Amino acid sequence: MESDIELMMKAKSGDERAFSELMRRHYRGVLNYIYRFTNNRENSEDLAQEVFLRVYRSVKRWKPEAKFSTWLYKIATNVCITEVKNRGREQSVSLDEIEENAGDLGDPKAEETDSLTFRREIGSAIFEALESLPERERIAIILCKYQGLPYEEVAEVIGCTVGAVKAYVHRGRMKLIQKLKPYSKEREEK
Amino acid sequence: MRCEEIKDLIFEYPDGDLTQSERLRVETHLRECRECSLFLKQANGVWNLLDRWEGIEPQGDFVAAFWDRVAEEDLKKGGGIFDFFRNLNLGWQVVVAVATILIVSVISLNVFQSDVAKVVVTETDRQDEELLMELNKDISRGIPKSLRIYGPWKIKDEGMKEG
Repeated sequence: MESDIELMMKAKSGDERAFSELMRRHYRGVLNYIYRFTNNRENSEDLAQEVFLRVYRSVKRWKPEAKFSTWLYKIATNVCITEVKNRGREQSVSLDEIEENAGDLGDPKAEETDSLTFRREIGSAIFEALESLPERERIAIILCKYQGLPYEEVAEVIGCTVGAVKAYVHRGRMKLIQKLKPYSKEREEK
Repeated sequence: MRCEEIKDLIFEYPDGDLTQSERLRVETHLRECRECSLFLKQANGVWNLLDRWEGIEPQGDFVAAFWDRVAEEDLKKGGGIFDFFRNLNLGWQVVVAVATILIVSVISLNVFQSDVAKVVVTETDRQDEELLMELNKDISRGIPKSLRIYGPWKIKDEGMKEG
């Protein structure tokens, strides 16, 4: 199997099949990264395409100095940050979307009608807890926890040291414990 | 070891990032301190809870949708002259060299060709020229009556005297 770098070199010389293969490998990861960041299922597809479009447009300027995934998540992070800022300007839209995409937020101790509602509620609570974190803590936790990136790669994406990433994750986790403790307790009780 | 210190180390404890002595101290403290032991349980519980937020699957053929979007955007752009040069992927040194050659060529052409600039003579110009030549002839022959209206004004005074 060809490595990402080999595929990118081919894509650089105009091989569209190589680029399609790169997309097949990384699309789901990027899509879910954006989803965790925005909690908007519909828009995540569009934004994931936007990320790959940016990669495609700048493929000729790409140099194999860093891992492809690092570069990809760097671009995805920029797209997410821009999206979140734009959504901040359209507050009414984001509130509607949260409800539409994640279901009723409600009290964690409220009785669930079915597992789907419960999953939606948990998803929504996790998103809200992550959203309340400072940007770098949020990025670090999503990349480490959900994308499974090592600290070194996260450091390159954010543009900081490995120690700083560890500190972001640590601080973020402390805050998440306070926010999500009730949900965790409830789960244990079940 | 104080509880606050333990809470700082607790996240690194499952990753195996702690030294042997740190690990021993954390384990001893956790056995003795109910509060820290509960905190570790909560921390792990919340960390595992994050897994409960399920991801999403791509809808439809995302690769085909992507290439459609590329084609659509290319069509919108219309492939301007700047895109053409951008796609050539020339280094900045080459661009600077080409631009310098072009500028020097334009300046040189202007300097060397300014004295041999062609003057286009139209039919009207030719007629004007003939008229001027005729006028010049008339003047050199003497002032005809028709031109006396332009002077000299003595003629008027002479007429008055005659009257």
